[in-house]
Amino acid sequence: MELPRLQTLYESYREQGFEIVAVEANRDTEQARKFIADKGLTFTMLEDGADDAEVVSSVFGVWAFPTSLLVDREGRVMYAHVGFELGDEETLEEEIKSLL
Amino acid sequence: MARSRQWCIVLGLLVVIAGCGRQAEDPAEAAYRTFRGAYIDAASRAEQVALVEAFVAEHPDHRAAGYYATDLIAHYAHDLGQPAQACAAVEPLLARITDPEGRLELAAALAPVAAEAGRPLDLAPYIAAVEAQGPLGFDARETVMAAACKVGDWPLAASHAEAALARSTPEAWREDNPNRELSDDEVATRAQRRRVTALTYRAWALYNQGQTADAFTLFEQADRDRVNDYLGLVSAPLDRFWASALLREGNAAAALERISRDAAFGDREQAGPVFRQAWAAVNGSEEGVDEQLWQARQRLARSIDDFTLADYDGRQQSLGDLRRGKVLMLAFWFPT
Repeated sequence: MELPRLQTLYESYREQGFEIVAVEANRDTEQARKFIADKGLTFTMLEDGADDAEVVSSVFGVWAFPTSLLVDREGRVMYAHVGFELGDEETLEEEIKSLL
Repeated sequence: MARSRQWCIVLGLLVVIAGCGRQAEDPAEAAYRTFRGAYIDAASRAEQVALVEAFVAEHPDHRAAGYYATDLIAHYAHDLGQPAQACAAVEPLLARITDPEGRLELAAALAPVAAEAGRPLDLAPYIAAVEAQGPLGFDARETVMAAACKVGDWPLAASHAEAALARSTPEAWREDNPNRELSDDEVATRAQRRRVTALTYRAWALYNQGQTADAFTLFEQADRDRVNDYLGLVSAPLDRFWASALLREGNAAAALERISRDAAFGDREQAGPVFRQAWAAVNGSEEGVDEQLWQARQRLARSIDDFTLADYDGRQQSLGDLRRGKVLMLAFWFPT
């Protein structure tokens, strides 16, 4: 899911207990900061660790981007989404609503 | 309507594209950034397609041109169901894209659609153009294997799977990624992941050539080697091929079990139909398939792994603290 579209979902549902954590996988700090500022993203943004400290591929086995996981209140991963096309945000919104 | 996954950029390409981005004064690169920004902000598919057509026509020599041109195939063939129109839109671009690997990637994406449109596309010249620069890398082999399986060219799939298997060692991985400084363990994991992919395609190619026993041996071998397959997200299509083979052998219950996780969490678009067929074979009809899938999801859902990473103010943040009691979206991304 592209982050600017996630921002919209975040604003709609955060008061109902919806949180977003984005992890930047390429450690491109400068570009990431610029993108976050340009797009006005306000949810939690983290940067993946270097080499052996990396999380994205070594912990989650994620090799393609963007990839999003949706986790319920009990901490179970209930939905996974690889790639993004226009219209996907509607599917994702339904999934979020079903967990809130 | 089949949804494609055009926004799926694998790590190899990511590094190449990100690397290009550092040469800020290059006009093609500047055009690429502008295009990419507009693509993300586009309000409709039609607008995105127009942007891609303009960018690729203007910069067929950009490294990402072949990749983005695959979006045209997704649009015409999958969104609109017009494979012939996809061919008409993409064939002229194939001739103009200068990067041989980008061209092969685009040709491989077009091949199944071209077959559907009744005008088969021979991948051989595109493979030869890449080989003229040196042996095919693992990612290019994977592209060819996937396309060969889609069009049913089993000898082509088998031969590239064989070659891919030979490149599935830690030494080969290091040769292919000279700029990555990873520990031996991490490299071994990556090599193993390659091996699972190569074994999977080899098994499926053998199965379709009638070598059933050998194929199942290879599926089992790939399964044993499977590493870090978090929900089967972007792994090799092992479970789907294996389940399809089980189904054809008349073992529908095993097929249903095999495909459940992929259908619930992984590649739903491709695994969904296999799940549906397996359920219909077990159940006698498709009735109750959605309920069955929902149950599979409940049964197979795994707990999220915790981790701690730094935010952009240098603070260490633990996922467990951030998500406590909330519904969480964990988004993996990179800027371009």
